[in-house]
Amino acid sequence: MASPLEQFEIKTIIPIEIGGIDVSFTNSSLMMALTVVIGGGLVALAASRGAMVPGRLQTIGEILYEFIAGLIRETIGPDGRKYFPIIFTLFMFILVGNMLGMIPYSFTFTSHIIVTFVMAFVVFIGCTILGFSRHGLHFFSFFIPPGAPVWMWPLLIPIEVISYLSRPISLSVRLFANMLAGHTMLKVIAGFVFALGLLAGWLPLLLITALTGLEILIAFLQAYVFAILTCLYIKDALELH
Amino acid sequence: MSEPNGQEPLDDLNKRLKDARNRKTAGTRGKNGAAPRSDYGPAIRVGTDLVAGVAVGVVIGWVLDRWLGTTPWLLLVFFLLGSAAGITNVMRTAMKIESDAKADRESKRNDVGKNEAP
Repeated sequence: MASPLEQFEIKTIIPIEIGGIDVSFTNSSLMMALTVVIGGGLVALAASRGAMVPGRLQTIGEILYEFIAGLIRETIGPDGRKYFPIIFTLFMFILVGNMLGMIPYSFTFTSHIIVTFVMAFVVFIGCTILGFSRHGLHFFSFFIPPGAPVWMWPLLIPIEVISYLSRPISLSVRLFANMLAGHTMLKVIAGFVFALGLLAGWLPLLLITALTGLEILIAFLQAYVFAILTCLYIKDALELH
Repeated sequence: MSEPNGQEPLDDLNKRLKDARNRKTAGTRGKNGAAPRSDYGPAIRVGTDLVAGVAVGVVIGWVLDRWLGTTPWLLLVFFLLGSAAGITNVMRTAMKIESDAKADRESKRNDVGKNEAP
Protein backbone atom coordinates (compact mmCIF):
# COMPACT_ATOMS: atom_id res chain seq x y z
CA MET A 1 0.00 0.00 0.00
CA ALA A 2 1.20 3.51 -0.76
CA SER A 3 2.50 5.54 2.17
CA PRO A 4 0.15 8.29 3.34
CA LEU A 5 3.10 10.68 3.18
CA GLU A 6 3.83 10.00 -0.47
CA GLN A 7 1.50 12.81 -1.50
CA PHE A 8 3.87 15.41 -0.03
CA GLU A 9 6.85 14.29 -2.08
CA ILE A 10 8.48 16.98 -4.24
CA LYS A 11 9.00 15.73 -7.78
CA THR A 12 11.22 17.55 -10.24
CA ILE A 13 9.52 18.31 -13.53
CA ILE A 14 12.15 20.49 -15.26
CA PRO A 15 15.61 20.27 -13.66
CA ILE A 16 17.30 23.69 -13.45
CA GLU A 17 20.55 24.47 -11.65
CA ILE A 18 21.99 27.95 -11.27
CA GLY A 19 25.39 28.32 -9.65
CA GLY A 20 25.17 24.98 -7.84
CA ILE A 21 21.75 25.80 -6.38
CA ASP A 22 18.88 23.52 -7.32
CA VAL A 23 16.06 25.76 -8.57
CA SER A 24 14.20 23.05 -10.51
CA PHE A 25 10.63 23.52 -11.58
CA THR A 26 8.82 20.99 -9.37
CA ASN A 27 5.25 19.81 -8.86
CA SER A 28 5.13 22.37 -6.03
CA SER A 29 6.15 25.17 -8.41
CA LEU A 30 3.60 23.92 -10.94
CA MET A 31 0.79 24.09 -8.38
CA MET A 32 1.87 27.55 -7.27
CA ALA A 33 1.94 28.75 -10.88
CA LEU A 34 -1.50 27.22 -11.43
CA THR A 35 -2.75 28.93 -8.26
CA VAL A 36 -1.54 32.31 -9.48
CA VAL A 37 -3.11 31.76 -12.91
CA ILE A 38 -6.44 30.50 -11.54
CA GLY A 39 -6.66 32.96 -8.65
CA GLY A 40 -5.55 35.93 -10.73
CA GLY A 41 -7.68 34.85 -13.70
CA LEU A 42 -10.75 34.47 -11.52
CA VAL A 43 -10.43 37.97 -10.08
CA ALA A 44 -9.48 39.51 -13.46
CA LEU A 45 -12.41 37.86 -15.23
CA ALA A 46 -14.78 38.79 -12.42
CA ALA A 47 -13.69 42.42 -12.63
CA SER A 48 -13.57 42.65 -16.43
CA ARG A 49 -17.25 43.33 -17.12
CA GLY A 50 -18.18 45.53 -14.19
CA ALA A 51 -21.89 45.08 -14.83
CA MET A 52 -24.48 46.92 -12.71
CA VAL A 53 -26.28 43.63 -12.17
CA PRO A 54 -23.44 41.17 -11.55
CA GLY A 55 -23.33 37.78 -13.20
CA ARG A 56 -22.25 34.62 -11.45
CA LEU A 57 -18.50 35.17 -11.81
CA GLN A 58 -18.71 38.83 -10.87
CA THR A 59 -20.70 37.91 -7.76
CA ILE A 60 -17.93 35.55 -6.67
CA GLY A 61 -15.38 38.32 -7.18
CA GLU A 62 -17.50 40.80 -5.26
CA ILE A 63 -18.03 38.37 -2.37
CA LEU A 64 -14.28 37.76 -2.11
CA TYR A 65 -13.53 41.48 -2.28
CA GLU A 66 -16.20 42.39 0.27
CA PHE A 67 -15.07 39.59 2.58
CA ILE A 68 -11.49 40.85 2.81
CA ALA A 69 -12.50 44.53 2.73
CA GLY A 70 -14.88 43.87 5.64
CA LEU A 71 -12.19 41.98 7.52
CA ILE A 72 -9.74 44.86 7.15
CA ARG A 73 -12.38 47.44 8.10
CA GLU A 74 -13.13 45.50 11.26
CA THR A 75 -9.63 44.69 12.44
CA ILE A 76 -7.48 47.63 11.26
CA GLY A 77 -10.14 50.29 10.71
CA PRO A 78 -10.34 52.84 7.88
CA ASP A 79 -6.52 53.18 7.80
CA GLY A 80 -6.29 49.61 6.66
CA ARG A 81 -7.46 50.16 3.09
CA LYS A 82 -3.87 50.74 2.00
CA TYR A 83 -2.97 47.19 2.95
CA PHE A 84 -5.82 45.59 1.03
CA PRO A 85 -3.65 44.40 -1.92
CA ILE A 86 -1.17 42.39 0.16
CA ILE A 87 -3.83 40.85 2.42
CA PHE A 88 -6.11 39.99 -0.51
CA THR A 89 -3.20 38.46 -2.44
CA LEU A 90 -2.12 36.32 0.52
CA PHE A 91 -5.70 35.23 1.14
CA MET A 92 -6.34 34.30 -2.49
CA PHE A 93 -3.00 32.51 -2.85
CA ILE A 94 -3.58 30.35 0.23
CA LEU A 95 -7.28 29.79 -0.48
CA VAL A 96 -6.85 28.74 -4.11
CA GLY A 97 -3.76 26.68 -3.23
CA ASN A 98 -5.62 24.86 -0.46
CA MET A 99 -8.63 24.24 -2.68
CA LEU A 100 -6.51 22.94 -5.57
CA GLY A 101 -4.86 20.65 -3.04
CA MET A 102 -8.26 19.13 -2.27
CA ILE A 103 -8.47 17.72 -5.81
CA PRO A 104 -7.41 14.04 -5.76
CA TYR A 105 -3.90 13.35 -7.12
CA SER A 106 -2.94 17.03 -6.92
CA PHE A 107 -0.32 18.52 -4.62
CA THR A 108 -0.89 20.84 -1.66
CA PHE A 109 1.99 23.29 -1.52
CA THR A 110 0.74 24.79 1.77
CA SER A 111 1.60 21.44 3.42
CA HIS A 112 5.28 22.39 3.15
CA ILE A 113 6.62 24.48 6.02
CA ILE A 114 9.06 26.40 3.83
CA VAL A 115 6.21 27.78 1.70
CA THR A 116 4.12 28.90 4.66
CA PHE A 117 7.18 30.14 6.55
CA VAL A 118 8.27 32.39 3.70
CA MET A 119 4.80 33.96 3.57
CA ALA A 120 4.72 34.41 7.37
CA PHE A 121 8.26 35.80 7.37
CA VAL A 122 7.39 38.36 4.70
CA VAL A 123 4.44 39.48 6.83
CA PHE A 124 6.63 39.61 9.94
CA ILE A 125 9.44 41.62 8.30
CA GLY A 126 6.91 43.89 6.58
CA CYS A 127 5.12 44.64 9.85
CA THR A 128 8.41 45.33 11.65
CA ILE A 129 9.53 47.74 8.91
CA LEU A 130 6.10 49.37 8.99
CA GLY A 131 6.33 49.79 12.76
CA PHE A 132 9.78 51.38 12.59
CA SER A 133 8.86 53.69 9.72
CA ARG A 134 5.73 54.83 11.53
CA HIS A 135 7.13 55.25 15.02
CA GLY A 136 10.91 55.30 14.65
CA LEU A 137 12.74 54.13 17.76
CA HIS A 138 9.55 54.61 19.71
CA PHE A 139 8.54 51.24 18.22
CA PHE A 140 10.60 49.56 20.96
CA SER A 141 7.99 50.67 23.49
CA PHE A 142 5.90 47.90 21.93
CA PHE A 143 7.96 45.47 24.01
CA ILE A 144 7.12 47.17 27.29
CA PRO A 145 3.73 46.07 28.62
CA PRO A 146 1.69 49.13 29.58
CA GLY A 147 1.42 49.76 33.30
CA ALA A 148 4.24 47.42 34.33
CA PRO A 149 6.60 48.67 37.08
CA VAL A 150 10.16 49.44 35.96
CA TRP A 151 11.79 46.72 38.10
CA MET A 152 9.79 44.11 36.19
CA TRP A 153 11.12 45.26 32.79
CA PRO A 154 14.25 43.01 32.73
CA LEU A 155 11.91 40.02 32.98
CA LEU A 156 9.04 41.27 30.85
CA ILE A 157 10.97 42.66 27.89
CA PRO A 158 12.62 39.30 26.98
CA ILE A 159 9.22 37.63 27.27
CA GLU A 160 7.64 40.22 24.99
CA VAL A 161 10.48 39.97 22.48
CA ILE A 162 10.20 36.17 22.37
CA SER A 163 6.45 36.50 22.03
CA TYR A 164 6.98 38.86 19.09
CA LEU A 165 9.54 36.56 17.46
CA SER A 166 7.19 33.60 17.84
CA ARG A 167 4.63 35.24 15.54
CA PRO A 168 5.99 34.05 12.19
CA ILE A 169 6.52 30.58 13.69
CA SER A 170 2.96 30.18 14.91
CA LEU A 171 1.55 31.78 11.76
CA SER A 172 3.40 29.38 9.46
CA VAL A 173 3.18 26.26 11.62
CA ARG A 174 -0.58 26.65 11.98
CA LEU A 175 -1.26 26.60 8.25
CA PHE A 176 1.33 23.94 7.49
CA ALA A 177 0.30 21.61 10.34
CA ASN A 178 -3.38 21.86 9.48
CA MET A 179 -2.86 20.96 5.85
CA LEU A 180 -0.28 18.26 6.59
CA ALA A 181 -2.37 16.59 9.32
CA GLY A 182 -5.63 16.82 7.38
CA HIS A 183 -4.29 15.37 4.16
CA THR A 184 -2.36 12.61 5.96
CA MET A 185 -5.48 11.66 7.91
CA LEU A 186 -7.51 11.45 4.69
CA LYS A 187 -4.95 9.10 3.13
CA VAL A 188 -4.68 6.92 6.26
CA ILE A 189 -8.43 6.46 6.43
CA ALA A 190 -8.56 5.85 2.68
CA GLY A 191 -6.07 3.03 3.29
CA PHE A 192 -8.53 1.42 5.73
CA VAL A 193 -11.15 1.22 2.99
CA PHE A 194 -8.99 -1.27 1.08
CA ALA A 195 -7.65 -3.01 4.19
CA LEU A 196 -11.14 -3.80 5.51
CA GLY A 197 -12.46 -4.75 2.07
CA LEU A 198 -16.09 -5.28 1.17
CA LEU A 199 -17.07 -6.44 4.66
CA ALA A 200 -16.46 -3.26 6.67
CA GLY A 201 -14.74 -0.99 4.18
CA TRP A 202 -17.83 1.15 3.70
CA LEU A 203 -17.45 2.51 7.25
CA PRO A 204 -14.17 4.36 6.64
CA LEU A 205 -15.55 5.32 3.23
CA LEU A 206 -18.43 7.13 4.94
CA LEU A 207 -16.00 8.75 7.35
CA ILE A 208 -13.73 9.93 4.55
CA THR A 209 -16.68 11.53 2.78
CA ALA A 210 -17.51 13.55 5.88
CA LEU A 211 -13.85 14.39 6.50
CA THR A 212 -13.42 15.67 2.96
CA GLY A 213 -16.15 18.20 3.70
CA LEU A 214 -14.38 19.16 6.91
CA GLU A 215 -11.08 19.49 5.05
CA ILE A 216 -12.66 21.92 2.58
CA LEU A 217 -13.88 23.99 5.53
CA ILE A 218 -10.40 23.92 7.08
CA ALA A 219 -8.83 24.88 3.73
CA PHE A 220 -10.99 28.01 3.76
CA LEU A 221 -10.65 28.64 7.49
CA GLN A 222 -6.86 28.55 7.41
CA ALA A 223 -6.71 31.07 4.57
CA TYR A 224 -9.05 33.26 6.61
CA VAL A 225 -7.00 32.89 9.79
CA PHE A 226 -3.80 33.79 7.92
CA ALA A 227 -5.49 36.92 6.55
CA ILE A 228 -6.97 38.00 9.89
CA LEU A 229 -3.67 37.52 11.74
CA THR A 230 -1.86 39.54 9.07
CA CYS A 231 -4.42 42.30 9.70
CA LEU A 232 -3.83 42.08 13.47
CA TYR A 233 -0.05 42.30 13.07
CA ILE A 234 -0.38 45.33 10.78
CA LYS A 235 -2.69 46.92 13.32
CA ASP A 236 -0.16 46.28 16.11
CA ALA A 237 2.58 47.88 14.01
CA LEU A 238 0.38 50.92 13.31
CA GLU A 239 -0.96 51.46 16.80
CA LEU A 240 1.52 49.82 19.20
CA HIS A 241 -0.78 48.06 21.71
CA MET B 1 -49.80 64.70 -5.58
CA SER B 2 -47.02 63.08 -7.59
CA GLU B 3 -44.28 64.95 -5.76
CA PRO B 4 -44.09 62.90 -2.54
CA ASN B 5 -44.08 59.75 -4.62
CA GLY B 6 -41.14 61.01 -6.62
CA GLN B 7 -39.28 62.25 -3.56
CA GLU B 8 -39.56 59.15 -1.43
CA PRO B 9 -37.33 56.76 -3.37
CA LEU B 10 -34.70 59.51 -3.64
CA ASP B 11 -34.75 60.06 0.11
CA ASP B 12 -34.44 56.38 0.63
CA LEU B 13 -31.54 56.20 -1.78
CA ASN B 14 -29.83 59.11 -0.04
CA LYS B 15 -30.21 57.37 3.29
CA ARG B 16 -28.78 54.14 1.96
CA LEU B 17 -25.87 55.97 0.34
CA LYS B 18 -25.12 57.69 3.62
CA ASP B 19 -25.22 54.37 5.44
CA ALA B 20 -22.84 52.83 2.95
CA ARG B 21 -20.43 55.75 3.28
CA ASN B 22 -20.52 55.56 7.06
CA ARG B 23 -19.82 51.88 6.92
CA LYS B 24 -16.81 52.52 4.73
CA THR B 25 -15.24 55.05 7.06
CA ALA B 26 -16.44 54.35 10.58
CA GLY B 27 -15.40 50.73 10.75
CA THR B 28 -18.56 49.25 12.16
CA ARG B 29 -18.93 45.52 12.20
CA GLY B 30 -20.21 44.51 8.78
CA LYS B 31 -21.68 41.14 8.06
CA ASN B 32 -19.16 40.42 5.34
CA GLY B 33 -16.18 40.22 7.65
CA ALA B 34 -17.83 37.72 9.97
CA ALA B 35 -15.90 34.52 10.50
CA PRO B 36 -17.39 31.13 9.88
CA ARG B 37 -18.23 29.90 13.36
CA SER B 38 -16.17 26.97 14.48
CA ASP B 39 -14.42 26.08 17.73
CA TYR B 40 -11.75 24.11 15.92
CA GLY B 41 -9.98 27.23 14.62
CA PRO B 42 -9.43 28.93 18.00
CA ALA B 43 -8.26 25.64 19.52
CA ILE B 44 -5.55 25.18 16.90
CA ARG B 45 -4.66 28.87 17.15
CA VAL B 46 -4.11 28.72 20.90
CA GLY B 47 -2.12 25.48 20.62
CA THR B 48 0.33 26.77 18.03
CA ASP B 49 0.69 30.06 19.94
CA LEU B 50 1.89 28.17 23.02
CA VAL B 51 4.25 25.85 21.14
CA ALA B 52 5.72 28.68 19.05
CA GLY B 53 6.65 30.69 22.17
CA VAL B 54 8.41 27.72 23.78
CA ALA B 55 10.13 26.79 20.50
CA VAL B 56 11.53 30.28 19.93
CA GLY B 57 12.77 30.43 23.54
CA VAL B 58 14.50 27.06 23.27
CA VAL B 59 16.15 27.91 19.95
CA ILE B 60 17.47 31.26 21.27
CA GLY B 61 18.79 29.57 24.42
CA TRP B 62 20.41 26.74 22.49
CA VAL B 63 22.12 29.06 19.99
CA LEU B 64 23.37 31.41 22.73
CA ASP B 65 24.67 28.42 24.72
CA ARG B 66 26.66 27.12 21.76
CA TRP B 67 28.00 30.57 21.04
CA LEU B 68 28.97 31.49 24.61
CA GLY B 69 29.76 27.96 25.82
CA THR B 70 27.43 28.19 28.79
CA THR B 71 25.57 24.91 28.19
CA PRO B 72 22.95 24.27 29.63
CA TRP B 73 22.20 27.42 31.63
CA LEU B 74 20.92 29.84 28.98
CA LEU B 75 18.84 27.04 27.45
CA LEU B 76 17.09 26.60 30.80
CA VAL B 77 16.58 30.34 31.28
CA PHE B 78 15.23 30.84 27.76
CA PHE B 79 13.07 27.75 28.00
CA LEU B 80 11.33 29.36 30.98
CA LEU B 81 11.13 32.75 29.25
CA GLY B 82 9.79 31.07 26.12
CA SER B 83 7.15 29.24 28.14
CA ALA B 84 6.12 32.55 29.67
CA ALA B 85 5.97 34.09 26.18
CA GLY B 86 3.87 31.16 24.96
CA ILE B 87 1.45 31.57 27.83
CA THR B 88 1.32 35.33 27.17
CA ASN B 89 0.46 34.53 23.54
CA VAL B 90 -2.31 32.17 24.64
CA MET B 91 -3.76 34.70 27.09
CA ARG B 92 -3.80 37.43 24.43
CA THR B 93 -5.41 35.16 21.85
CA ALA B 94 -7.98 33.92 24.34
CA MET B 95 -8.83 37.45 25.43
CA LYS B 96 -9.16 38.51 21.79
CA ILE B 97 -11.46 35.59 20.97
CA GLU B 98 -13.54 36.31 24.06
CA SER B 99 -13.94 40.03 23.28
CA ASP B 100 -14.78 39.19 19.65
CA ALA B 101 -17.44 36.74 20.77
CA LYS B 102 -18.89 39.34 23.14
CA ALA B 103 -19.03 42.01 20.42
CA ASP B 104 -20.59 39.45 18.09
CA ARG B 105 -23.31 38.57 20.58
CA GLU B 106 -24.08 42.25 21.17
CA SER B 107 -24.29 43.09 17.48
CA LYS B 108 -26.53 40.09 16.99
CA ARG B 109 -28.82 41.28 19.78
CA ASN B 110 -28.97 44.74 18.21
CA ASP B 111 -30.11 43.63 14.79
CA VAL B 112 -32.46 40.80 15.64
CA GLY B 113 -35.11 40.49 12.97
CA LYS B 114 -33.27 41.95 10.03
CA ASN B 115 -31.44 38.78 9.17
CA GLU B 116 -29.61 38.84 5.91
CA ALA B 117 -28.02 36.02 4.00
CA PRO B 118 -24.26 35.96 4.64
